[in-house]
Amino acid sequence: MHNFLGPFFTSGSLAAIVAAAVLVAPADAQTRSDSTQKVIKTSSTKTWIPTRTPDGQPDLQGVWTNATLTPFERPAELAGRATITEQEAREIEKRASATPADAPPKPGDPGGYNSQVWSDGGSTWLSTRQTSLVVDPTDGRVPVKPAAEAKRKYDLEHVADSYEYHSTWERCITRGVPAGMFPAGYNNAYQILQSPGYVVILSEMIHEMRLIPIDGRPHLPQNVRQWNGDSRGHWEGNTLVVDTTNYNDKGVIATSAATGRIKGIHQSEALHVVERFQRVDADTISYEVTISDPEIYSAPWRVAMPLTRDSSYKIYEYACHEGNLAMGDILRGGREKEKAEAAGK
Amino acid sequence: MKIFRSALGLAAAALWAAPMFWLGAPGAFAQTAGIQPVSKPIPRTPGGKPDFSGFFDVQYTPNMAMGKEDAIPYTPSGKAAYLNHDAKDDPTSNCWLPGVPRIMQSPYPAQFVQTPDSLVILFEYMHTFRSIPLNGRPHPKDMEPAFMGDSTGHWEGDEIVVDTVGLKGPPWTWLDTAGHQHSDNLHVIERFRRTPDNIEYQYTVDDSKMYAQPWTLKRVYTPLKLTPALPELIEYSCSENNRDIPHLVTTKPGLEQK
Repeated sequence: MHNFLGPFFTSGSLAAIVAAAVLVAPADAQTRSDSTQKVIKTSSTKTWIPTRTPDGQPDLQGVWTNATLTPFERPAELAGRATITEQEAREIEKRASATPADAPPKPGDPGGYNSQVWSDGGSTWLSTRQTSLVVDPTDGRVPVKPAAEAKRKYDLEHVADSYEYHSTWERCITRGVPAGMFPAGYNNAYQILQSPGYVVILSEMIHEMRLIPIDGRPHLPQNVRQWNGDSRGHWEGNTLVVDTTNYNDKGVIATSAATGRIKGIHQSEALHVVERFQRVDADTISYEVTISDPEIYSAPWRVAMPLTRDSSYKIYEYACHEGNLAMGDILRGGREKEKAEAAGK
Repeated sequence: MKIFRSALGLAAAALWAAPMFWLGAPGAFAQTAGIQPVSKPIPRTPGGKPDFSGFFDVQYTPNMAMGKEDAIPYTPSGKAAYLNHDAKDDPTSNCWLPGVPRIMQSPYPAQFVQTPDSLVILFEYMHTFRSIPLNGRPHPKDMEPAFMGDSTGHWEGDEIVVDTVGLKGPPWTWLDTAGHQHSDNLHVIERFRRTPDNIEYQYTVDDSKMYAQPWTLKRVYTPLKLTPALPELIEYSCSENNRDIPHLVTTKPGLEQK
């Protein structure tokens, strides 16, 4: 299946959730004082004795999903609140499931995905009840520097000028690391495998794989640069820590519309990503990622979310380039627009 | 036309009720095993199964005829499809997934990852993967054809046998770079056998629309040493700056380049 329009899809359901969140009653003072970090820790301090692979690694293997209604950054309406209440979460889920039919496309608009055709962006709030996937800084907002925001804005205004203004996902190059772990509107599944010396992550979207050595070898030399950098893993107790460096400076930190204003923020060669995977019970991995890139952000920031085991999930073949006509059409549309404007002068 | 058979080939042929044509190396698995020192064991997993894990050169096979074009048991339409193919239409130019068996014969290395439940092969070529269950589950009924089809594997003694159907027909995938064609009726049977030093890989093309009989190749995947200062699988970014397609020229004589 081909999902090219996905990255362009502005999630109607997300807008509905934010609207719903505005309508729910303010939380009590106790909830306000909770730090999201504490909420995340709560789920990871349960006594869980991990099963082990034959070579002794804590076992992370299986098919995991992370589709969620929880927004990437904290909406303004939830400012000052690290969590919502259980009741609020149920209310938002109820409203999301009752989202009315999408309006038909306007004349001249070719349309895109909608809730009637297909989307699979999750129907539940995260079990942690955190108000954003971004948990550090504590306001749930990514500390993007103004110049990086301006660069993103420029790109968005020029998508009809060159493929280079599109994200790496739209170009079918890669969803990115860690962008490939951030929830999107569909295909939110990952298969983790372990064999002696390696952890492997297969991603449904865009049919990508990561081969992560855990044998203690050093990072690649600084002159070797890749879109997805160079990942090295090691175990700290029962937590898999994956350190990624050696990025090229052509990628973006997030590729899905579900990441809102962070989609399309560029990355520099100084990007440093540290992910932590800890299985906290049979069906849950606590996933955290800390992102540092001093050229782009005024401080490191952190995303945390559970990954949920779903053994019944069937990972389909995501064929990014099949029937991939949108890029050419967007650029041709840009040229037609220029012609029309020139003719009108 | 030279046809090679082996005990294994005959056994396999019985499954398909058709004689088995061998192209390429005539040696059957058993003969190759005979030249190995008896004392050297094959690698095994803690569970006792042969261990296919590792970093391998998947033997580059751009032309599955391997110099024996006349030995390919074409049907008339299969022959015509091959003679009429045009190299400028190679589907992989579009960065489409190469299909099975083409992915198994690329010039780039692969990492084999084996678990008790599955054999997963990560390919540098196209930066992609195959995840093959080893529980012998049936193919889905009425599946949507896919570039890589549906693969299901099972153990036969020390060999992993993988059966693949549900592959797209033309123009999405070709059998090989040389342009041998297949239909959406393609059925691929692969056998992986671990020797002390290598993986012996045998694959059979069963496509009655294009080929009158199943035909089989055998290749050897040899372990690679890690290149210092490089990863196992270097990032293959097919779409990056992919400007080839408008510049490809026809290989069919008498046709103007479009």
